[in-house]
Amino acid sequence: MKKIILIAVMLIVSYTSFAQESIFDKFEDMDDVTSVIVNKEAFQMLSSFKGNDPESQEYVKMVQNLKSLKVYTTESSAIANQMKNTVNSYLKKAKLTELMRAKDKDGRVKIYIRKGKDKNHVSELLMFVSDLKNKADQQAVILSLTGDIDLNKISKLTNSYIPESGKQLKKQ
Amino acid sequence: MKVIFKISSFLAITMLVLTSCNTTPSLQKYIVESKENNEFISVDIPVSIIQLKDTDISEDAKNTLNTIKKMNFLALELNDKNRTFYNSEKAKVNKILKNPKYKQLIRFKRNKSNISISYLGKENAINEVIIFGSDNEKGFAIVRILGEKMNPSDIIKLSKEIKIDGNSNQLKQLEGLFKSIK
Repeated sequence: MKKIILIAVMLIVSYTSFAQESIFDKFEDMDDVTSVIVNKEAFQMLSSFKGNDPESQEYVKMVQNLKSLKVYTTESSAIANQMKNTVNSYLKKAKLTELMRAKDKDGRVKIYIRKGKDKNHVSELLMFVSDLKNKADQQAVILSLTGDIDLNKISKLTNSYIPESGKQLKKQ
Repeated sequence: MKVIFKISSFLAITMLVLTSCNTTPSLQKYIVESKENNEFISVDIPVSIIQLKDTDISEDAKNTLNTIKKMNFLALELNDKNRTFYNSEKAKVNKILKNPKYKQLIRFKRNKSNISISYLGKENAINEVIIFGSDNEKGFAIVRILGEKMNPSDIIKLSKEIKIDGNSNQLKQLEGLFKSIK
């Protein structure tokens, strides 16, 4: 009897979780935010484009196991503050480990990860860049990546959103 | 035993209710209905408009091109009077595209403009590609590319291979049309 109820609940939950949204999605509806969201389907499709040169093959290997990439950038300091709060509350809930933290005259970078299948792979990568000073058009950046992520390879992707981030990742 | 039966019938009903939510109006229907409305600009383009220079085109490329059937274009220009209409129509399209049968590839937003690309079908056999762009100051546009089992990697290959006949009359007409819209 209990089993049946359990199965019923699970079925309904799995149905509704289809529409599950991430905590960062709210930034997408804000006017002063620039966002890019790339879904699993896009990564799968990208990996079906078999390039001939080794560089594109390397790229395919890197992206084929990714689930999602979300990048939110804002130039408003009010939203930058909201982002900070959201990231902090997410970190409390999601139990991510801090990979590194850096601060210099240009701003702060924090990188968090969730452990993956081995020490070179993580299942989630969260980068938060704040207090950007030398960039007129950016105040804060959130980059969230999920899937099977190879830390050594992913720097190519993160670099295009957050310059120099790759170097930090490779140091690890 | 009776209880099990009750539960399973309850389950069946909930499933039915949940799945019936999927029968929301399709984009196809939306476009057809909106064409009737003069507020919208709509253009249907058959792929035959792309006249290929028949020289040195491979059989494969021809086959790939044949998988693409036509293109629908529907746009609503925002003006002083139609803001509420724009907002409600935009919400309608967004709702249609939220349906999980439209697999969303990518979504991009910058300040007040949004672009999303979705598709219907399988990743290597696409039946429909939908590009939806909106700008809260200018209006929105839907581009729908229809085909039969379009294979994205083949199409990319094709785009590298073909030379589009730029002097084709139909293409010139199209160009004129887009200029007049602007």
